[in-house]
Amino acid sequence: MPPRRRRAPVVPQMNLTPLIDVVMQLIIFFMLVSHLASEEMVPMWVPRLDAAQTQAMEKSQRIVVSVAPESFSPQAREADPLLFPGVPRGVQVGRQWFEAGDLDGITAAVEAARAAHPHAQVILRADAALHYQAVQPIMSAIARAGIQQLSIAADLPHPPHAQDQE
Amino acid sequence: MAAEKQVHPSSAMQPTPPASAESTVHHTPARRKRGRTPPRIGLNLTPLIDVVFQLMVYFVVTAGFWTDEGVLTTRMPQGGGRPPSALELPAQPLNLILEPQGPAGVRIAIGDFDEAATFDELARKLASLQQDPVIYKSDDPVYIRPQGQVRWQHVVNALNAAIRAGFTQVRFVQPSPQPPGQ
Repeated sequence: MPPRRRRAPVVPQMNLTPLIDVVMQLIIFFMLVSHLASEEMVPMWVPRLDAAQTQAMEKSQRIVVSVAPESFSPQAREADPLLFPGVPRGVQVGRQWFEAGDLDGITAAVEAARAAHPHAQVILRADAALHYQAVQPIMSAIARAGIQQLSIAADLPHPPHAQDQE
Repeated sequence: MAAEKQVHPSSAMQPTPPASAESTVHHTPARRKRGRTPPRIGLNLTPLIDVVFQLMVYFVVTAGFWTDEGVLTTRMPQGGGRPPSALELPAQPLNLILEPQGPAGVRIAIGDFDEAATFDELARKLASLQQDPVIYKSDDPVYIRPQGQVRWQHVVNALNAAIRAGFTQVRFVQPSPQPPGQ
């Protein structure tokens, strides 16, 4: 094309290609991260305690048994987390998913996990709003697997606001 | 724009392609560079945006959406969940009875002789049971007896209060059936 004699009026243009590239990267990243995070720690609202005596959780050697609530958005439960259905959606042992009624399956899974990691800390995570009658059979199922020490997950308070209201 | 002013001069002086669309697509002939139109200085914002997005991702990820969780260590019963024989029954169990109240509330009873309005008060009353007139020793068993509809948070809170009061033998009891009229 021959060079123009007159300068054409400058039309400002924005190159959107790198923006789209980065946004795609972000989408992929968050898809992966949300998948990884849900593998072992089922999202739930763990109990919030008055003057909690909780200790830090072991990070490496642990068998997590999660009694999962129905799906929820954190904002919706912010006001009163306990006003929520008390029936669990299911139970997850490590990365295995069970129906809440499949107590034998839960026992077998905990036994298998215990055989693989004899010194692992067994942690029971249950949503704060679940009914006791839904959680207690899970505890019994864990006890039947020969577990003598069970750790119950609860809120770990930070020093500035240690006395959280119930 | 503030961002433009903060860019290091050396990067601003790098030869940047002119802004018009056609000259970025086609190679500019050499004689054009000597032309009378001075090269227009543009600022390439792409790497800046890239880095800002990376920073944003970093901080979004490190901020974390989850509250920290801790654990309360307990010891499970041995013997496969069978009820203990009468001989093993301890002499002085302390019952903490939890009953549901309203949609998500709880009523806390200490044995059949006292009540607590909050778990803070429960912890204080449990601690006072071990002092002055020693009614319970710290290794007396404490039975947490929630009814089935009690929310899990209250159960864990009762456990927490018992641990806080210094009791070492805290046990969960199977849910008792809800009495009619509640």
